[in-house]
Amino acid sequence: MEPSLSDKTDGDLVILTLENQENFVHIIDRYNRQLLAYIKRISGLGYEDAEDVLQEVFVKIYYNLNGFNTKLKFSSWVYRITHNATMSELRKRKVRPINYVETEDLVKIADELDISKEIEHKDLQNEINNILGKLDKKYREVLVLKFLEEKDYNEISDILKKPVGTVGTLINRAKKQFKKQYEK
Amino acid sequence: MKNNISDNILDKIKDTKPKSRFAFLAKNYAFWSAALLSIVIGAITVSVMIFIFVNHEWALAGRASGMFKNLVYVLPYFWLVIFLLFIIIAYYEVRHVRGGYKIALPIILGVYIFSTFLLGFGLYKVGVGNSVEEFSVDHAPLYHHLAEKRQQLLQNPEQGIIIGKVMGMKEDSLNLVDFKENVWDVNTEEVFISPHVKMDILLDKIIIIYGEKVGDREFEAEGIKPYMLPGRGPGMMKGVRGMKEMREGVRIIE
Repeated sequence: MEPSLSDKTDGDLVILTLENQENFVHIIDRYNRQLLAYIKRISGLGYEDAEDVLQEVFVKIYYNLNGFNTKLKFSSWVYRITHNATMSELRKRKVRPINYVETEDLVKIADELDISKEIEHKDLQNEINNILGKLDKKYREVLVLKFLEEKDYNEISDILKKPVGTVGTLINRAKKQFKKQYEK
Repeated sequence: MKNNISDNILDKIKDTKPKSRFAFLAKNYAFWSAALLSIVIGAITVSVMIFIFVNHEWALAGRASGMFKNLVYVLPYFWLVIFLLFIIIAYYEVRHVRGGYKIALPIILGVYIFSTFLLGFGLYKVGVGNSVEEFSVDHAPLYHHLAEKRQQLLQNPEQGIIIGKVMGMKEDSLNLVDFKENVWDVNTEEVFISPHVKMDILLDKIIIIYGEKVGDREFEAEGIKPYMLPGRGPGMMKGVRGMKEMREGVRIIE
């Protein structure tokens, strides 16, 4: 039996979309939820604004499909476009990214940073959110990608267009900064 | 929500075609070409810097003006600035080629410096450093000024060193005009000049004479050396040949 389009790999879907625009809907279906969550996490935009950015992102993905480097994971490539489009939107609005992390995400971060025992307290959840909001943009970006989007170093390197070594350094510094702020 | 978003997006792209693959390839090749061009320009600056360092008369200029002043004036700031500028440009270009962001800064710097020095040495050997230096002296007024400053480091008659252009020659003497337009009468009796050398090759050339000041504008030469700057000579190859003849023909008495 022929596999359905939704079972195809990302690479196959790219080729099929280039042959027939209608097939792009399968790429949209596959990525829209995670990209919407990512936009909200790194920008703090509300649902409707984030959805507007998401639509722009998919238009850009479609327009640039021929530029997809097959040596990359498709997901890294779409995350990169999403990251750039979100930052560009924030620049346009002249606002600093506001932190927006949901409770379940806070638990994940607390687990990774060994402060999970106390996370049930609402105060602590607020505190973590505050700390994330105070971190430099470059540190918050890598923490979100590493602990919430669960990307590995190579993927983060491809998304942020930084050498893998730099990504490792940024993550270590981000953790240190976070803990330092937390212990204050 | 899902259908709504999908429909909106499909509606937005219905009249759009993906950008061509060629456009992406062209952009990638353009960045690679620009990075290679930066290496070539960097190598040319290296060849000129080698030329300046190798051709500067360190011992004589040190005697005339002191080693510290020599270092300050001879350091090729102009070329160093261009070299550094093109390191930055090359870094920017490499970071923008496909996958270039994976290459760490120290690797880009290392490859750039190694390749520009290697190629720069080759270019120096074939005379590119010489010709670019001459061209710059002739066409860039600020650079001409810097070259003159370097040349003036070799002017200190009290210390037994003068530099200038040969205006006239006789059997045992020559006339030299220095950069302050003083005309010197130089006795060359003590300088051995090979009889088969046509002395007129020295005419209009800039030379360094060392020996002793014996009068107000009179000088007793012990030795003569050619000086290439500020590049008023003929074209590159002719210039190189001219220098070779001068070096073979004029023996320097130490």
